[in-house]
Amino acid sequence: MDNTKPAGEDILRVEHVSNYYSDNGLGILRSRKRSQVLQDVSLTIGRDEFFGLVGESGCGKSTLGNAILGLIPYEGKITVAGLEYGKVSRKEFTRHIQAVFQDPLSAMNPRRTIGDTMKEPLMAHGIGTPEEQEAAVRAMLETVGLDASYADRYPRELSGGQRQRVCIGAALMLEPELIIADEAISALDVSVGSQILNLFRTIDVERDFSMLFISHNLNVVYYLCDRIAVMYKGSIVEMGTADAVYNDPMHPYTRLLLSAIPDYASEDDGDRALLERFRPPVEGSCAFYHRCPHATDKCKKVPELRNKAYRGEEEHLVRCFYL
Amino acid sequence: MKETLLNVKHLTLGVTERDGSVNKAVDDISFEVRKGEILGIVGESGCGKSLTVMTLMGLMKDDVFVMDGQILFGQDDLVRVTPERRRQINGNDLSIIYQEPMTSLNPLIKIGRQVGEPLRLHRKDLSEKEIDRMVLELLTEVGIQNPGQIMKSYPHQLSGGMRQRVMIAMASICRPRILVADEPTTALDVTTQAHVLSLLKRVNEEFGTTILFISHDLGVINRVCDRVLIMYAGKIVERGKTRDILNHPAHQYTKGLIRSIPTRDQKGKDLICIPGRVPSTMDPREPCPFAPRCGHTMEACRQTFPECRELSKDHIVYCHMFD
Repeated sequence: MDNTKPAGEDILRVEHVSNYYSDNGLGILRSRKRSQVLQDVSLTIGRDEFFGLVGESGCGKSTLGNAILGLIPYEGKITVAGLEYGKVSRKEFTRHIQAVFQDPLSAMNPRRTIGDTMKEPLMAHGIGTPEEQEAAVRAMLETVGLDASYADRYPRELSGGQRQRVCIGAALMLEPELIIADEAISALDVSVGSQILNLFRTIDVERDFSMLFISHNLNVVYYLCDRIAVMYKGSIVEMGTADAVYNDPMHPYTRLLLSAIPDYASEDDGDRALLERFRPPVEGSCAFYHRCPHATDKCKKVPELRNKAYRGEEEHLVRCFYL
Repeated sequence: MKETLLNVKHLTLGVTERDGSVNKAVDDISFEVRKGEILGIVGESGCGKSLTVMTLMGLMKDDVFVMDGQILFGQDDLVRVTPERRRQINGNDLSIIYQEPMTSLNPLIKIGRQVGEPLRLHRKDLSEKEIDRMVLELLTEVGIQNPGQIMKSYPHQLSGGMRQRVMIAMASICRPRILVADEPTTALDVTTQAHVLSLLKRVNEEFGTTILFISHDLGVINRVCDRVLIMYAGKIVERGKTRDILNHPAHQYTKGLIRSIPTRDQKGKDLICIPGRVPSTMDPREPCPFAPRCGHTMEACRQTFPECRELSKDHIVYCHMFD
């Protein structure tokens, strides 16, 4: 993960992706409603790039991750390493994209040993003889910082951090170009989470892979990622390099998020008013209208994403009329 | 010197393992809670912080029991109160809010009725009308905009932040001397968390309620707590004013915790992690349980648990490096 612009093709292209679910309501008065979760989302991730996707609950970040993994239906186009889900077999697709989720325990079959869990991708794709598969599992255990003897243990014998290492190892077995990490360290203790962050960085030096790191924690995302997108109510409101988004946030929601994070190092009492102002929501307006400290009548329409970077600098997209 | 409201003396909690053996989950801890303060307890999983407060509340699970010690609260020793006395205290002099408000609120009972329940139990002198009025007032005070409507609603109709405000109202309505908050914002979005933390500070400042605040998040601790104690594997390792601990951490574990959190200037560098992991109750332990991960272990650490050393007024540490 160096700072030079990744050359070559994009590993992930998300183009105008939307997603709906039927919300029929409960009770006698059932209405046929369709709720839009993802609103025309577009982004690209380059080779060997770590891309952070940040937002609070309900923003659609996990939904987007699931759409990219081909786990839910969507409208629009998503290509991974040039392949489009639906146009190639699922098996082929999964050679290029894998996932690490928040709860490693529920991601593993409790009746299989660690070794069997990690061998499964190789067996599913008919890669290697049994001896080669065992050797690959041992090598991967070492890569993720676990002793080779762990291959014979069961998930219940491992700690949370160790289980997550196994899941990361299993995801890497097929050497996918893209890993989706959805709140991968959120359920772990702080000291263990930091070990996993270091692990991602170490593996990144040794191998070429891109990662979509989905998290609600903007500090961790800034630390780990090259570029960041901030989502609010189903659309991207700001996107740019990690440095630009974190140190020069432009969208009022990004600023609100940053101001709300409690900082262990800050000396002041921190009782600053949050950067938000409430007003009655308006249909068809900017999604942030009802909370924005700067909203005007202009904001009663949905803004486009516009590039606010200086010429020669990397793209810094913001969806806001105020700027 | 502020009056002591709660005095925990040499508390040791045992846990019965699956194989019938008994291990210490909390080992000889002592601390005081002073009137009017917000005292934080910080530690990662397995440190015993939740077990300690559950014992305080008399809500331990069947496999946990008090092996030794006292918890002095006014005239009572909470370890030895009768069930009748316990029912008089809980919800009244002592109350608790949890991480997951959905499991604390009865899904089948309307909010208004639930929030009023502590008053119905402990204030037999009040009429139903008076109770309803007090509930309405308190819901307004905790920042709920439409308290009348909320009183007629069910928990599932409220967002996570609203439910937590309702919990705080319910826990405060009898004006308890101590409110225990067990990871109250861990499950909330960061912007909602900021509101709930402000609310807890207001409850402390305006009602004078002393708060015992459990968290693993040092940023949150810095935001609300006056003093903090750091726990590791059933022991208290350090205690002091929040700013003292965060600016001048003395114990190696405290230092390690702080270093695990990525800060702005650490982007691009590896985090200095605490190697290894937290021991489970079944793992064999050195007298100082942090010895295997400390990096500065001495012979003394394998022989006795360190004595309490006073570094400055109100800052103590349990570590042989200060002998």
